[in-house]
Parts: sequence; structure tokens; C-alpha cells
Amino acid sequence: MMQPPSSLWRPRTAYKVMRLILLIVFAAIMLFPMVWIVSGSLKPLEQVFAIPVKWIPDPIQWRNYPEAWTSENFTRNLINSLIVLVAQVSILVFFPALAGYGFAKHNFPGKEIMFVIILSMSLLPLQIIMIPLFVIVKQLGWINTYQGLILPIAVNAFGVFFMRQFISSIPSEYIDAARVDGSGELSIFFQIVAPMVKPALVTLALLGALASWDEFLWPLIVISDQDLATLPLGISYLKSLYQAPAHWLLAVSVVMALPLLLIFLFAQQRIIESAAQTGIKG
Amino acid sequence: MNKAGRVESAVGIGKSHLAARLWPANWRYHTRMKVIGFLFTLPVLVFFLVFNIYPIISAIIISFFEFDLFGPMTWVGPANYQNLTGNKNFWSAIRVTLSFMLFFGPPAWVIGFLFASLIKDKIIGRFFFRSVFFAPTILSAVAMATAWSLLLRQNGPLNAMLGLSVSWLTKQNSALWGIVIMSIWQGAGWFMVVFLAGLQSIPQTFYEAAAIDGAGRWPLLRHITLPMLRPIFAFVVIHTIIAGMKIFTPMFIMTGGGPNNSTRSMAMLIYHEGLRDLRMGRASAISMVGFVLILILTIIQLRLFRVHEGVEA
Repeated sequence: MMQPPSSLWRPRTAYKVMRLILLIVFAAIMLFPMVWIVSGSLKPLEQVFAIPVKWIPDPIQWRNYPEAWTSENFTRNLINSLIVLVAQVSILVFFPALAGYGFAKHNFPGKEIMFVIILSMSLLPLQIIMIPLFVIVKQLGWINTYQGLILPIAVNAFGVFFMRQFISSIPSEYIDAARVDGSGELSIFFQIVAPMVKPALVTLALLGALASWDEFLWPLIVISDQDLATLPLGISYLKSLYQAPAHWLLAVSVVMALPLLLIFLFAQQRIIESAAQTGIKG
Repeated sequence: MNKAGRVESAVGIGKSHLAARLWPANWRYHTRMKVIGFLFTLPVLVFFLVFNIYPIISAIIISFFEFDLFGPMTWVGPANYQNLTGNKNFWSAIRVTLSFMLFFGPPAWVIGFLFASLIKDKIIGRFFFRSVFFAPTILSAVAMATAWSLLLRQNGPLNAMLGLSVSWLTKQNSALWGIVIMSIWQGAGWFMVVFLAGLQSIPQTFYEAAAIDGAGRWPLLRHITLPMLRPIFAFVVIHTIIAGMKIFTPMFIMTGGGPNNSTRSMAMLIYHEGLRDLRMGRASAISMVGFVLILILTIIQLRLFRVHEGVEA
């Protein structure tokens, strides 16, 4: 378990070996579903549920992917998902950064109260407000529209909190110096603040992209028009078909999960650090 | 970062002094700066007002009406709430949600803590193990629910590997377990990361001192590690409860809330009542019950926040 510094107490070799064996066993357990999913996505249908489990498909059936992809309108779903993702990430990065600058480097009456209220929104899940939010979106005439899909869940309190924290750590001298030079506040924001918090903006953009790509409940609520469905909805349509072919379902699941895995591998440190501060998802 | 933030906001007073010196008695400048500061926060403020605060108020109002989305709203007073007390579906959803929290939470914490303890030190393959344990958290919830509904089939690989023949998702007394197993697989890595941050924040000197006193591994865990992690535990418990209040996607995809409502969580019930059966009033009343629960938790969370922030920074 816990281990004091090596100068005082070295773990015995037996312990080290045991720890490694344990880790390998746990890793195998955690990997087993992922390996089965990938392998199943490349099998002929009759091999998917073969017992004993066939880990290496024979033959490897690549055509599962194009067949699954064209079985529903997944190209359309992908385009919709990307439109929503780009829009939501842009909004999530830009507006909370602006607000973060306001909260961190300006003073105005009611600032503290506003910030506490926004912060408390971070624990308000969509599940609790989905009914009235749906009613509001319907009154706005936004059902089955991109704006309805994108806007109501684009900003979150975590983004505001996160940007305020980072912008607070910029020394005020930089900003004051620019003010003395007569820079406007917007140009200070774009030319001084934004470049200095670039790592935070990137982290926020990545977290936003992960969440947007995988958002299921909100699209399910506002979209019934299949032409506006995002990928998660597309998968759920395929899944809900009677006797949807298992190898297709697995292939589509891999396609859906792969970009997330790539983002994760590319930005592991950032994601893990911020995961410790917030629930990325459920 | 957090410490810097606090220092900065303290220095904020100094900043306005500087401005006062540069523009003596220029109150118009100060007023202008206040307005500009407010304008920076305005878009986000409008967002939260329209899409978060207004919906909460609106939910309170709708919960006292009968409303099917198309017809007029009819005032029914507290009838929607009174209805809940004797509503079988409501209590079943409460039971499912609480069971989920209970059966998912503690095992996932223990496994997460175990993972964190095992990879805390700089060991061979640390990066690999951490990635493998954390990856399920990041992989698409929708895709994993889809794939796990196949993994959990009676003729599926999970049964094959364990030598069982449980028909996980289609039997009333095992369906929730199926979802719980998948959720533990998905969630343990997240708890690992949280515990890892906590473990790494415990000063090494504590262990050094205890080791000099000849303390063994078990006493170290009991008397240093666990007490030092107390704020992390609180954080983890609150997050588990909120995760339970949110749980929806696996139920929707894997079981549709069935069989016989045995996996219909509160979120799923709100969805069914409101958006499937168009009983907006009753759905809003259930939402308000959830909201009050979350509100209580938020207050606890905010009180613990300082402690937690300190540990994690």
C-alpha cells in the first residue's frame, strides 16, 4: 500500500513482484471488454458469441465497418455531431474566458454573489431541469433545430470557475501596464489574457469536445428529426432495431469511442488532472 | 494555482489604488471599468439565467399544474406532490436510484483506491496501467452501453469467462446488477484519479516520521493515509450521489428501464413521465424532489470546498 521514501524503507522484492502481478491481472480485467468489443467488430456475425471466446477473428472481416456505417444514416449523424461539437467548444471556450476575466480582474457590485450563484449551478444536472428546459426550447421554436441542439447546454459553470482560477493567476501588473498604455479592455483580453491562459483554454476545449461528442440526453430530448440526429442518437436507433446485428453494433461503438480514446492518449495529463477536479461525465 | 488565485484577489484592492493614483478623482473611469467588468460576465450570466435559473423557477411553477405540453395549464395545487407519496413508480425509481448509488459507489471507491495505491509510486509501466484503468471513463458512454448490452447477453462473453449463464439484462433481479457492473468498470478509473491526487498531496514527511518510529504498512494506512484523505472521501461520496441522480444513458440504452421497471432510475422516470407520457406537472414534481436533494448536497459540497481545494492544489 503506502510506501515511505526509499531512503528509509525499501519495498521488498517480493512485494514489488506481487504488486506487478496484481496490476497485470487488473489491467487484463479492465481490458477484456475493450478487446472483446474491438475483436467482435471484426468478426463474422456467427463468431461474435462463439464459446469459447474467439479473441482473434478469423477471417478478419473489415467490411463490417462500411456495412454498419451505411446501415443507418451515420454520415449525416457524424456531420451533425461535428457541427454541434465545433459550435459548443467555441462557445464553451470563449464566453467563460470572457467571464473569467471579468470575475478575476474587475470589480463591480454583486460580483461575488453572481459568482457563487454560477458556481452552484455546477451541481445542477440536466436531468433535473430537462422538463422545463424542453418547454422553454419548445416555446422558442427550437425543437429540431441546431440552435436548440447546441445552445442550452453549451456553457457550464465549471468552465467559468476554471477560467477565473487561471486568469486570477496572471499578475495584475501586466494588465495595469496595458491600461496605462491606453489599451482597451477587449484588446487586453485578446492580446494579454488569452495568450497567457492558452493551456487552460486548450484543456477546456478538450473537455468540452469529449462531453459534446458523447452527449446523449439532450439530443434525445430536442431532436426527433433523423436528419438532425447526432452520432449517439444514430447508435441508439441502430440498437433499438429488432435483431440489430451484433457485429455492426460493435463496429459503430468502436467508431464512436475511437476519437475519444485518441484525444485521451494525446492529452492524457491534462484530462486526468482536470478529471480530479470535476466529473467529466456521470 | 489556487493559492495564487487567492493572493491575487487580495491584491485586487491594490490594483484599484493604482488606478486611483493614475487618474486622480476620476470617478467616471471607475464607473466605466465597473460597467466593462460586468459586460464581460454578461453573456454567461444571461446563459445561466435563461437555461438554468429560469428552468428551475419554471419547474417549481409547472409542478403545481397539470400540463400536457399542448393544451392549457390547469392549476392543481400540491396534487402532483401528493400523488407521489402513493405512486408505486416513484418509490420504485427512488429504490433503483438508491440501490445504484449503494452497489456502484463503495465497490468503485475501493477498486479506485486500490488502483491508486498500486500505481502511486514510480513503477515500471505506470503510465500504461494508469491509461488502462482510466480509459473506460473516457470512452463514450453511449457506445459502451451499446457494447455492454452484448457483453452481458446470456450467451455473451462475460458469462462465458465466469462460467455463468445469467441472463443479466432481461431478468428483473439481475438487470440492475448488469448496469452496476458496467458502471464500476467505467467509474473506477475516475475514482483512482481522484484518490491519486489525494495520496500525492500527503506530505512525505508524515510517512518518514512514522517509519522512523517503526510503523508498519497497515498502521500507516490506518493512521496517516485514511485520515488525511477525509476531504477526498467527502468529495467522492457527493459525486457518487450526484452520479446516481444523473444515471440515465445506460438504462435507456441497455434496458429501457425494464424489465418491470427494475432499472428505471429517477432521471429515467422524469423522462418517461414528462417526455413520453407528457405529464409535465408530475415530472416537474419529481424533478423538484431531486432538486432539493441536490441543493442539500450543494450546500455540503460548498462548505467542504475549501478543504478539498487545499488538498487538490
